[in-house]
Amino acid sequence: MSVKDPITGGSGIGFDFSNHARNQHLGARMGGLPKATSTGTTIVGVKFGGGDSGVEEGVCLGADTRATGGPIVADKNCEKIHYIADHIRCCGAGTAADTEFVTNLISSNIELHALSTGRKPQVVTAMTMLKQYLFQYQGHVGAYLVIGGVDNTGSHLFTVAAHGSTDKLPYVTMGSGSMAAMAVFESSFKEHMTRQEAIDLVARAIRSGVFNDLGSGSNVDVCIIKKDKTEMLRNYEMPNERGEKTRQYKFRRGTTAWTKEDVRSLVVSETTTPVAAPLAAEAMDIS
Amino acid sequence: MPEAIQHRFDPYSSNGGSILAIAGKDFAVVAGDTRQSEGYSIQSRYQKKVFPLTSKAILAVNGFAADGNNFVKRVKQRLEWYTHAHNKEMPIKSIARLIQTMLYARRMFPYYVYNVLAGIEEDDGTGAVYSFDPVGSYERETCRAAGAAQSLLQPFLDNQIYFRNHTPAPGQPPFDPSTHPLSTVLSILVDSFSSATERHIEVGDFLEGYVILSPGRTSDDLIGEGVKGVLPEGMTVEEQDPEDLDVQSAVAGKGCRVFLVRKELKRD
Amino acid sequence: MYNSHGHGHFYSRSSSGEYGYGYDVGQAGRDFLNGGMGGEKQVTQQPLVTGTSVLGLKYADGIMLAADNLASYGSLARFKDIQRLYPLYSSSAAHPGQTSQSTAGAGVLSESAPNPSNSAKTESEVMADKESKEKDPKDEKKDEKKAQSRSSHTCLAVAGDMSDFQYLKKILEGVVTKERAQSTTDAHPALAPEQIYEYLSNVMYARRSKMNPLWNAIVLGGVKDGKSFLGYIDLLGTTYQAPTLATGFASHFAQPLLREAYEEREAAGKRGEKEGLLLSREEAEAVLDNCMKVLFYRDARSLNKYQIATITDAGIDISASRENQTEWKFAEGLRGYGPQKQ
Repeated sequence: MSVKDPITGGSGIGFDFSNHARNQHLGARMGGLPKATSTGTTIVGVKFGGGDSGVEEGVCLGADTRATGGPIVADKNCEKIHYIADHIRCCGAGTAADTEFVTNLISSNIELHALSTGRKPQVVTAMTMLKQYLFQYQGHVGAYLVIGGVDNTGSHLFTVAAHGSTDKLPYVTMGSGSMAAMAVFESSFKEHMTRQEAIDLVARAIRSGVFNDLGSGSNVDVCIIKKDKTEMLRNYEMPNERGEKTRQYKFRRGTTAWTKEDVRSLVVSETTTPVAAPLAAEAMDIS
Repeated sequence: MPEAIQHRFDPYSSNGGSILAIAGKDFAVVAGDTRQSEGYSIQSRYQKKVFPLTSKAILAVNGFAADGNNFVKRVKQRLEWYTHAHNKEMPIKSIARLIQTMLYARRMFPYYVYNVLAGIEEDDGTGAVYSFDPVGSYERETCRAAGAAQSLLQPFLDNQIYFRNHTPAPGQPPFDPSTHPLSTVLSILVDSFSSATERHIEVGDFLEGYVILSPGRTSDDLIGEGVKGVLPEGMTVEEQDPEDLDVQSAVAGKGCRVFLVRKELKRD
Repeated sequence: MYNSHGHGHFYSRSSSGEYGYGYDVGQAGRDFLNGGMGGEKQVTQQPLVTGTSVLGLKYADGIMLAADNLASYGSLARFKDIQRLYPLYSSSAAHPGQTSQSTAGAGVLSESAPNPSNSAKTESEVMADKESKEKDPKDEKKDEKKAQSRSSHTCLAVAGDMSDFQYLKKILEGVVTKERAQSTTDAHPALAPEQIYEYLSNVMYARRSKMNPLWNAIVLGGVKDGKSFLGYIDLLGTTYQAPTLATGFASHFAQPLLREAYEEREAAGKRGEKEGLLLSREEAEAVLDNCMKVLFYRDARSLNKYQIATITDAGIDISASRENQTEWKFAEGLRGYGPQKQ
């Protein structure tokens, strides 16, 4: 099934499927190809202000804080709103490692881009870099993103799916809780909201995911980006604090049994005995 | 190459949640969470999976909810027939064997259900827990956790109830799992489920179960003054009127007292 | 009017005469026993003409159900005038134990094509309305008490295969007819919603156990003696009860909104800001309208034309078809999906 380029003779241009047969064979022998852990998540974004409202335009991003591996909660308070630049942030759903690395990579490249152009990078630039990178990997880099920010051309909000497709809308959701969150947006979104209205709506959409979607849970993180101010409201709401246990689970010293005891002293003590006393008269001349 | 995908009907589903039972010297506790889910969706925050069968035997079912409910229904029917035939309740030991045969009867199309039966043994009045696999393999135990969070709960019970990996203090007698007081067992129950709720996405909403006290048991009862120090904080208790209990028997149990206990769990 | 037999699909049920009018729970039990234990070979069907998700909500006076009027044929919007709310059973307050012909007759017996524009209130509904308007509010409590001990009403909202739904209607009508025949001759107690629910779950579970399911998800709402009941049943025989219910797509989109509204109203009641813990009729209807709008926005197999069933002590009211005002201008200023500009 290898695709040979008629011009280059298959020299590293275009896709390389030469390992496809091998991977299928290995997959069959292992009983399925290895699967990466992915996170159930609710992430959202809304645009607010702007128009004739007199409210400064901006975007508000939100995320829950649960990370899962199958049905097990891996992290009860993880951060899903990633830094791209001071004025651009990115929420990640999907394979945890992929969202982490892809946002880090693009964050670095955006910084280099800013340095080389000497300008504040645009949100579309970050979005384009993300989609082009993800498209290369044909969905195997499992990052589902909500990217938002404010640059010289205004406020922007996009989603980027793992295969590289993007969407531009005034309100977006992603992750396993996307439908619960979108239901809130579809019934309550207004154009040109105030900052607080946007935060309240975003928090409500995340809560909708947290309480109705098993893949989402714990706390609500919110991020507000305006032209010259970005506020990261980490744990903006904490509606699921851990309760106290009714018992103390302290073990008596000596609870753990052992089969062999071997005590060794690691302290080495020595006594030094001088062989000959130094002669005062023959002291070194140090003058 | 691309053949038409033959979509075969899958008669099974999995509805999450967990159940747990602990037997004491003269009592038994059995409980489960009340969340019913499918995939990442919560179907109901309050759906029972612990059912009184007789005045001294209670069955917890977990796995595929439709199979669970229908299995309980059929067990109850068999118990009613037994009562009509013998004018007495079926002893828990016999209920356990009945459940085994009923499960194995469906060996080739199993009930996708994990059963845990708890109650008071007829002959000696001790607390009993019987646990089953979906096709009828069973044994009597001191405690058992089953369901989605079994792998989280059972090691904790092994350590706290069975004293696994505990060495008695020098000069002390060996631990005896059957000597736990009711207050300890209820605390362990509550802590087990609050922990499972923290770390398992399918466990949550409410904890609901029953405490069955053996006839003649007087210490730390669950009503009146004795309740202080027995009941974990936030847990409510209601003594069940034998009439209200959905028991099949017209014959009163030999003085077993049954209490319904409830506690809120986290909802995320 | 609409069935899928014309499409050359053959159902094994055509040979199963046991689901006749005489079908009872006992038969369901026997069917169950035979289930899946290597009886006759049956081909599992697949849904053909389907209805999308349905909703149910508990409110102060009883239960409300909602379903749109679309029956799809795959991705084709095939029939746009289908009623998926089914007023199954109504036993009136006036004649204890006797099925009210007026209420039940309108919905249950006549197979008239659902004409939403004039599916007006049933006779008893109109009467009940009139009564409540004319009566002194002081007398209402007394009447309520009287009514509460006498009436039983059950209604279904059905999603999934529409021919299976019609078949279900047929067997349920058989049960109801039998009940009605008995209730005319003696003081036969009315069928409670819970009993119909139990029966229906037995039918569904028995069929799944034969590997030949009825491809539906059903929300059953009922009120008996002032007590409301809301339950879910699906093709696997899975059952559950909750104060808010939604099937399929709506379980993802509408259920969060229903729960939010229900819980917020309950909290307001507990804080003492409002009387009682449940949504009023107006509030509940507004919540369902909103959910149907969201579903129309987001469910590609939905239609902006739906009905609401209101089940109270007074009876079952199936509303005329209605539609929501929609808004599609929200992204007018946006162009494309990426760097494109205005």
